Amino acid sequence: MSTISLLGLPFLVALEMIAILGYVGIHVLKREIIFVDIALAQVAAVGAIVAHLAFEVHGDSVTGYSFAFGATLLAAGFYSFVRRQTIRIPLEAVIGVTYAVAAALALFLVGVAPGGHVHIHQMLAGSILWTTPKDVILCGGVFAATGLCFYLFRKPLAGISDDYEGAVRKGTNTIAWDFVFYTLVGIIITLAVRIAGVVIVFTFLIIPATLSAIFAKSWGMRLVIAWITGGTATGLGLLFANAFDFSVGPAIALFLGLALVLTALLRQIRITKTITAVISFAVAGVLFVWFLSLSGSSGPPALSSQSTPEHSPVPVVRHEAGAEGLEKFDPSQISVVTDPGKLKQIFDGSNDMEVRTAVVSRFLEIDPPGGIRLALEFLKTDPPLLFRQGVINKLQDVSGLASDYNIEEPFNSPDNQRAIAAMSRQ
Amino acid sequence: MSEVWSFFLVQIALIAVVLILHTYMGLHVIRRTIIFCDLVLAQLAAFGALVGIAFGIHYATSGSYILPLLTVLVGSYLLATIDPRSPLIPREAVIGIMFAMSLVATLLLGDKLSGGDAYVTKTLAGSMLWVNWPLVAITAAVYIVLLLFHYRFRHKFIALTENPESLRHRRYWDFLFFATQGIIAVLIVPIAGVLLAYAFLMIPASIAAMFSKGWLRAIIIGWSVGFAACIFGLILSYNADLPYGPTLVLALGICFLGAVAIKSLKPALARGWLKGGTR
Repeated sequence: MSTISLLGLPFLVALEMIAILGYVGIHVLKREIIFVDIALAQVAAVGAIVAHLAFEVHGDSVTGYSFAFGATLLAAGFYSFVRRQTIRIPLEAVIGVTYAVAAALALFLVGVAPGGHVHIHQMLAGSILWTTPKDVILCGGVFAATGLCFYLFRKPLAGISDDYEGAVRKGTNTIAWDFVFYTLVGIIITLAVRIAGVVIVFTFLIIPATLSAIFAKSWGMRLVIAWITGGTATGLGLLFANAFDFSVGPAIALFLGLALVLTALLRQIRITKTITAVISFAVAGVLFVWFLSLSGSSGPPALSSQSTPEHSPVPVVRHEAGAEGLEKFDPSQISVVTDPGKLKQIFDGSNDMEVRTAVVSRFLEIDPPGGIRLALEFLKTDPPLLFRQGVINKLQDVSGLASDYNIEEPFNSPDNQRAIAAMSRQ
Repeated sequence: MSEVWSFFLVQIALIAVVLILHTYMGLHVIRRTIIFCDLVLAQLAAFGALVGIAFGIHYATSGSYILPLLTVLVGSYLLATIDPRSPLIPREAVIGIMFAMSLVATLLLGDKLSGGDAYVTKTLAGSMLWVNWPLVAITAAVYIVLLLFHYRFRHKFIALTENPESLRHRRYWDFLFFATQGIIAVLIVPIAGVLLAYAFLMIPASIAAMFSKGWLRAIIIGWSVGFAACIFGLILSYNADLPYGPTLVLALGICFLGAVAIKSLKPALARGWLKGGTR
């Protein structure tokens, strides 16, 4: 039960991403602009940072999004223009340069900000585990809209992807259509990276499309293969990360990579296409069941030094704690509670790290001073790294005070005691 | 004052040497459209170093170079031998996937190491502050050896780019090409960081490739522009107290934008150049 409530929303949002990114990935592969998403994500990040520095707004705000989008539009314009102009160097080279410059600009702008490395890790590895129902709806809406655009304009867009020179000869306005293409891709990637991190988005884009190219040539077949593999690998990755306490993004990416390597190896020894496909999915299925049973049991021995036995990496609901079924709360329910007293009650009544983290986050939203006290109380128990990071991020968002807290160190370390003292002074 | 000067001289000397080989390798990379292979090798080097840290070897000591060297050699072998038969899968896609996987490996290992986050950032930003004479001497020496090697076998490597079918033992030369890049990455990343190393490779060569089809001329163009941009970036970073690596990358980026503008504003001239070279 807890596995579903913990992983349900991330899985849903990941499926939405696969639906759209699997399709865009085929375009990207055909155009040989493999790293376009990393470059666009980096450009969007620069936009968000500029908004943050200029208007003191958070990246999730409307201003933050519009600045990120504006920066992406600039890049989209640049790519569609350059594709036509400097034929001497491949567009991928221009993308490479944009990536380096945008990344440098981001480092340049946040260079002095303390705690920057946590943010960089966040941007790479993502935080898909903290997906809210709002995110799922937002993604669903935006991806459906962009998907519709891709469907409506499929002729010119696919025409350019299949054969650029041919499209130019036929008189297609390649600059305009390219601009449309990069803008759509920019919107999708900006949103997806904000929610899931660069690693997931990049692998969703490239790996399913590559895998499908091994088996099929037509757009339709490739799409179906991409969706099936993407969905399976995501499920496995989520369960793996949950069972062994790893970052979710990289874990999902790992399973997609494994699926591809397995398929490619089987291809190498020249078994027919069908058998290969059947075997890879059978293996994937067996692994899936195995992980299901793993996460269903009490969980494997803790691998990480941060997870002591009391803080099992699997958020198991503890039935001995709390009265009146309080332990049954899941994060989405907690996010609508408005009574601080009730929140404190849930917090005290539950041993579940995930529930406690959600309560602290909610408390910080509705009553920051009380929330900070509760957050410190929670941190004092040295919860596992993931939850520590969740609380510190929230604390930083709400109060801007927690930047000195080092989540790698225990609560009682001298560094963190200093950070806490500084926080208390405020 | 003299200390400041010697510090500057060290950096300028290093940049001058590094840029020659990087521009040359960058030209290959751009003309073959394997743009991000450097990032793969740099990421693999970072992964190797992280494995070293897991075994208690300190970052940026001589012992910490062994494991990265091993991982980049394995990476070079894979890059040279994985060649998808399907025309639908460009080589860059294989590179992209290898990059993703090495990044994933780094992040997953970082999850289980204390201070992993800080380390991942450190490899991105680099720190030229560690540059000292012995390190420069070693790096420069290795670079010069590699340069001589590539000069000696330049016909092979150029054939690899321009006409790969004609070359015997293609995989073998391919491996040597990627291995060179890997060794460069292992040496330069602890000093300059992944980003600056990548910018050194890509930006001067991109500018050069826009203006010349030849090899020697392109290297001269790329080196001169890159060197000028770096000196400018260095002075700016010192005087205005700006972060070192990012400032240099930005200076290079401005030059790239300038080059694109020049190419676009002079379409007639560009067309003349295009006609000059037959495709």
